[in-house]
Amino acid sequence: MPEARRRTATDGASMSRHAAQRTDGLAGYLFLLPACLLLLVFRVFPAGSAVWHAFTAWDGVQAPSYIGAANFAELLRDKVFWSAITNNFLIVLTIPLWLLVSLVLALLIHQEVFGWRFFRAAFFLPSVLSPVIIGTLFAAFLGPSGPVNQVLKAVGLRFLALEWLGNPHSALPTLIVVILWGIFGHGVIVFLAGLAAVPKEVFEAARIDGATGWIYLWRIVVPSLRHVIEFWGVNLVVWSFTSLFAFIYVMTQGGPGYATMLVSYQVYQQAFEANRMGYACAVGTALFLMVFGLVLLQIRLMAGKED
Amino acid sequence: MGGMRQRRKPIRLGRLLIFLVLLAISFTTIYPLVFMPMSAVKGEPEFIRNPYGWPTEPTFENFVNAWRFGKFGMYLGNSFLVVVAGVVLSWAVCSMAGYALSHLRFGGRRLMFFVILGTMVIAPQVIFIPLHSMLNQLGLINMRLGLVLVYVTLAAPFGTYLMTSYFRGIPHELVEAAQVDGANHLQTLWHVMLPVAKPALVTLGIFNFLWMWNELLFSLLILKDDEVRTLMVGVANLRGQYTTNIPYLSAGLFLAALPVLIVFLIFQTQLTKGMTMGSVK
Repeated sequence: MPEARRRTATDGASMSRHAAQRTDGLAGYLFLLPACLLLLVFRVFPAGSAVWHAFTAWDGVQAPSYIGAANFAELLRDKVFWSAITNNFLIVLTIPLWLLVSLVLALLIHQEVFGWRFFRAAFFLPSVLSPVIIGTLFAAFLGPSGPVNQVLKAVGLRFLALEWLGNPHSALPTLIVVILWGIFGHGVIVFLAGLAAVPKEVFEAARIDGATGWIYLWRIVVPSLRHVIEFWGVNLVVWSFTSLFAFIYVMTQGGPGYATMLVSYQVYQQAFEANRMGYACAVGTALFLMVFGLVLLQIRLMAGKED
Repeated sequence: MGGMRQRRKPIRLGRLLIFLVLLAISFTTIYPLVFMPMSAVKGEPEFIRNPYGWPTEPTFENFVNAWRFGKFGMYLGNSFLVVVAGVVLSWAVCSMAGYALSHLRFGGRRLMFFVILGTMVIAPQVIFIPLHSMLNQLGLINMRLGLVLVYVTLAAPFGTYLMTSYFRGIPHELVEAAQVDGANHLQTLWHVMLPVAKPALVTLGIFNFLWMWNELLFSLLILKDDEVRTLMVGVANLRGQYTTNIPYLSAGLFLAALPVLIVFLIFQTQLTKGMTMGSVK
């Protein structure tokens, strides 16, 4: 598009225009240089290096030695890795619910009920807090004698006063609820932006036709917001695979047992607690393969409509 | 018409119900943020007696302890250094790239846009091991500069995308007029484009401030010595040690959350813009 917009400043200046194009060329590459150099050195090169080291035995101190696909063979037999994958997928299975929560809340706020600006801000609040803060806070809240259990005991629900994060059955669901608390407001904001872009008449027409409740949601809202829901859904799946490290680090360290082990946390643990850098690179490479296609889709949804 | 009138009442009742649901959920998001400062000003004995009520004998002892013995003052300073440097460098790197990708003419421009965006397929969680050993060889471990460079790199694809999109909306005539006046591209970017792109810069700056302030993994791996450690690592280290001393923990958490909360209260609109970028076309 900018090319089309481009016009010569003065009539008959095609000579100077050619000259300008040549300088543009050099300037263009020079202006891209800092970004490209950084990305090359600190992102692309380490990615290649990670894949190479996945085929080595390496403790991070001595030189890595090539061992073929042994790390990947071990990966397939590694129970911890499979629990991590299972947990990752269990989390992904709950993402439709996260989408629904955010979508319904966005719709309710979109009705501009009394105080909607306040609600929008309040819901958004957790998503600016660091997972470190959220995790630490909830770990304290949910401790065996923490405030949550004290309240449960006080209202006569003693049987519900679990060791929320310390019990292998409740740890993952509890973790998911905390993560949802941290992220749902971001979804609300995204869907509100989407709703603002839908012509009012679409919703009004549906209302006049008498569409209510689930029918309204499925037939009218979801189709009008398809692009936004796809965008946010893909974002959440990628995010759930790659960005939950801090939650795990401060709340459960993957435990009890491996009940909350995730792939991204296993990479860290193998590398910096077990000093098995080569094996950790193999886990990382597996993670890369899992999210690769999704991130491509994410970029397409983000920039696919450019030009 | 009759149908409309009949529906009126249920809608009002519905509105009240909606209001109550929203109120209940906003209580869960706001309560922890009220709980933190409220517990932070209670002494441990008072907290045991009165964990949820209004503090009766407020004390700043927890904050003083966190600041002095918990070294939160030092961590806070380190976080500010890293984040400010990261935000400023990201502005420079991303607006230069964005300017080139939107207003300069050169071969492979479209391709470069997708290549830069495409590096997002490399999740940071995949590369931190080789990155760590590379920084080690470069002597950048325990150097705040090392973390800054990593942050600017991680911020580059989205930042470039944001600046490119914004610059595309600025008429090319402005650039041409500046060129006719004899400005070079750096001058054009600085004197013509950036003043117009202030909203995008604010959005990018706030967005970067937030995630860089909140980031844990790379900070944990790169800044290991106490003297250079950032606040989130300091907070993460509270785990286990102080989980039973909730007032002290609350003081530390509140100190760590405060800058972000202030930014949130002042820049909510710009923040919303940054966090919904790319979702609506």
